[in-house]
Amino acid sequence: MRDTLAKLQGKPSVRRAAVAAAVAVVIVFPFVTSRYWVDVAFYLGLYTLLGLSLNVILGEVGLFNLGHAAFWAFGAYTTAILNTRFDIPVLVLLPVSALATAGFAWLVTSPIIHLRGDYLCIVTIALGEIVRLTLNNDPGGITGGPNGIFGIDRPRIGPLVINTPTEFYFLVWVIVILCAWALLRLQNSRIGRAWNYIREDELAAEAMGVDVRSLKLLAFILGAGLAGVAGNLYAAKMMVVSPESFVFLESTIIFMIVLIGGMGSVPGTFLGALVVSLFPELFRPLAQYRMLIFGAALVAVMYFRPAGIWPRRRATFRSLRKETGKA
Amino acid sequence: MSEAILQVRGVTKRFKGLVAVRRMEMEIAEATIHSLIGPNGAGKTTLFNVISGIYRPEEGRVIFRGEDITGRKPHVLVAKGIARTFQNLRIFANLTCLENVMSGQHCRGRCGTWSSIFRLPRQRAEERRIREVAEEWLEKTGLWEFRDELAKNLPFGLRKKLELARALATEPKLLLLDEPTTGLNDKEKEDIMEFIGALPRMGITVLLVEHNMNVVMGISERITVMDMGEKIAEGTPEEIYNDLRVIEAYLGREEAIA
Amino acid sequence: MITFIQQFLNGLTIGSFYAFIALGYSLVYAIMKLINFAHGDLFALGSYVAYSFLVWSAAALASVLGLWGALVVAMVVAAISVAIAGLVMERVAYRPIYPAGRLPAVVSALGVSIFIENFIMLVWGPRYQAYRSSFVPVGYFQIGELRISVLQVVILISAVILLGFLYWLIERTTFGAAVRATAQDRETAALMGIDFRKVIRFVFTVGPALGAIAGVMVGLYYRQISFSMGWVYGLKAFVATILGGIGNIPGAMVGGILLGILEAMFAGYVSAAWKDVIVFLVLMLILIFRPRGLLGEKVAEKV
Repeated sequence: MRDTLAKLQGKPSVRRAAVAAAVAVVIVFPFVTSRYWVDVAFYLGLYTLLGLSLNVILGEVGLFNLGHAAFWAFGAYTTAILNTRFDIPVLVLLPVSALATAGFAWLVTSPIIHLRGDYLCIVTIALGEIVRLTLNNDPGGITGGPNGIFGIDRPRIGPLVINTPTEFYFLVWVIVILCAWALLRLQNSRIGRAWNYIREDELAAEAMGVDVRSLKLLAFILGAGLAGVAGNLYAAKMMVVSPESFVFLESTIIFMIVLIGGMGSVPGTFLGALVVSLFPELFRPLAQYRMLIFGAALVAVMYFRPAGIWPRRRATFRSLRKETGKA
Repeated sequence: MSEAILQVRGVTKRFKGLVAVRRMEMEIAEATIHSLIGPNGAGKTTLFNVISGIYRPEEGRVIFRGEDITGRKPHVLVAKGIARTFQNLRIFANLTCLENVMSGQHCRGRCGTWSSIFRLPRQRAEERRIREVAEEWLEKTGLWEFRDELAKNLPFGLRKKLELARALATEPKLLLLDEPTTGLNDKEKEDIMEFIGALPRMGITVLLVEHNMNVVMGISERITVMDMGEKIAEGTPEEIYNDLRVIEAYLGREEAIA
Repeated sequence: MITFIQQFLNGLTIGSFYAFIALGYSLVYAIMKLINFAHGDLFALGSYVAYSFLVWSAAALASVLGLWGALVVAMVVAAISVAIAGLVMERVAYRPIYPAGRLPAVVSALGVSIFIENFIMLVWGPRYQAYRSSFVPVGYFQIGELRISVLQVVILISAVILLGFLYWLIERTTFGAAVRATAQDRETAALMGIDFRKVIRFVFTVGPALGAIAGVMVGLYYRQISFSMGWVYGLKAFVATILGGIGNIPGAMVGGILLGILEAMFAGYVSAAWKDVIVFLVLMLILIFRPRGLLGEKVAEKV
């Protein structure tokens, strides 16, 4: 059963059909469901984007980042501050937040990028806490303290205002699909492979000519930049940002999305986000027990599928030849 | 004798006061096989790591093709043409054999994030080249049929070959091999030594670290013997064979010279 | 000067809480090479178990054993229950998953952490609980302007005794040597006839038990406990672990005390709101400049 499934996954025609079907579902979805579910699907898209962004760092390069919410927060606050203070349109701030967050990531991860495994893990947790506490302490009165910042505008494209859940839904999913496409292309490239070499064996990667330090930084910068995009979308949707949205549990949840799905697997990240986002919905009747069940479920998933639900399939010789042409 | 491709000049490497390599001098002629032998703990692997850039020596210089490369990072040295294997095998276990060997070509590529995302023509040409070089070495090492297999699923002997193929895919001028025959059976040993013996004809210089003297006798042009971090002898295989001090160093401390 | 001494004593007290919790992290990390993310939550669980035990029996026990006797019994009960929880956790969530690699184990640890935190919330409710004033000793010593509570003195003395006992156990006994040998090199230790299971059972009994004792002390000292406090204390104790060198037992004790003093001084003289930021910045600086901790040695990776 599993073999036939794997074979089907491997077939390009089947894969193309599956992708087309998924895109069709995304397009039709808001027109056949209620407003409520469209909202749920917006957050699913947001978490997928966050999952994809962490997947670059954690999944591809194997850098244990348990403070990813810091980058998300940085993007959200960049948008919130620049929009409410200087009236810069939210949509213009989308690339600005991405770049600012990427720059922030470069600044803070440069000195710690050489740390391995658990050490990096604990430093990223600390980083997440430093960012959250700083936002909470309202330095210079720019972050609004525990109440955060409110009154953020809606994104506008000319006369069109993105306002309804359906409009937000499409905004986030277009970005998610673009990101997934870009990341899939990066995976089977010199850069993506080098990331995987580092994950497998850092020293051997260095000895094979991979500039380990730069490529790790690149992963952090790209991943943080995407998290910055997610921050912008989040700020625009909520119209208010506050430190309590970016607690450690959020970093943990994004971490789980990548690991439940499968390290370095783009479809896995989609599935991971789906599982994590639908979990509270499915267990709504058991509202107060759902985090308890979630904790136990994590243990169970790691017991039954330690490599994740949909582990990454390596590219075969055939598929590589197809992509780059014959000699 | 042809020009020296690598010169080691007075290299000393210490660990917490312990001297692992002391004032080492060595020259390796281009397109030859030069062996470095000595008992365990003689400092062979340390010297090896100094040459490949993993350790920075406290004293001395390493000169590669006339350029001082002392203390340069390993990935820079690979691009300059120095490749290596590891004593205890460090392959990328969860990647395919093809991907493993393709890692060698990483340093020959230029394309970055954006050209990879948009698959610019330049990037596609580069990817094709990376793949083709890797294919070539998979064929030459007899691993072609395993190209899509994950490296961890190969038997030990083939993994050892895979590591060799990966190093060769960097298109090295100088190849550093750290005990390439350890853990292999006789047939595999013969096989891999024959393969290594053919490398100088392709213009590749080999520095071979071994502690089994018999393995290197047949194929080395010159042999350097180390003991306790110092060079104790150097010469052609015949000269070394006749050198009593070497035999003493071996027989004195090693129970077996297979 | 009075403020200084006062803050120093507060720092020592908080530091001994961190030291207790840090030991649990360090023991587990030394043996399993795993950050036991659930450890902070076990600490919180200990605090709650003792709280309920005291609510249920303090009056009756105190009339027989006196207040201090009742508190000791409560601590023992908390330590035993949490040690059992620790052993069950190891059996259910770590042992089956450990062979699959480090990342699955990390996820499993995070899962257990979420589970215990929510378990506490379900059982005791999401609001703060207060240790009643009837269980908390109130006396104090007055030396000039300096006021030191009896509780603080008792906490410090018991910390010295317990930590000293643990130090002796691990550094001076044969069993301690077995634990240290396993931490150094598990395979060689097994070849020398050391029972790995026994060592695992030891670290998952002693670590959680010490955490639980710290939990009770925190409850008595601050009076207020919450279901989510395990995370903050756990994280800071982990910083203490790294400060002293991860896997280094005396290091964890020293790291805890140092961190407590640093935090109290910063809160007393600079700013209470920024003290946690400083703690985490110190962590980052340590890892950048002395990755093996203050007491640890720098070890080069074997190639």
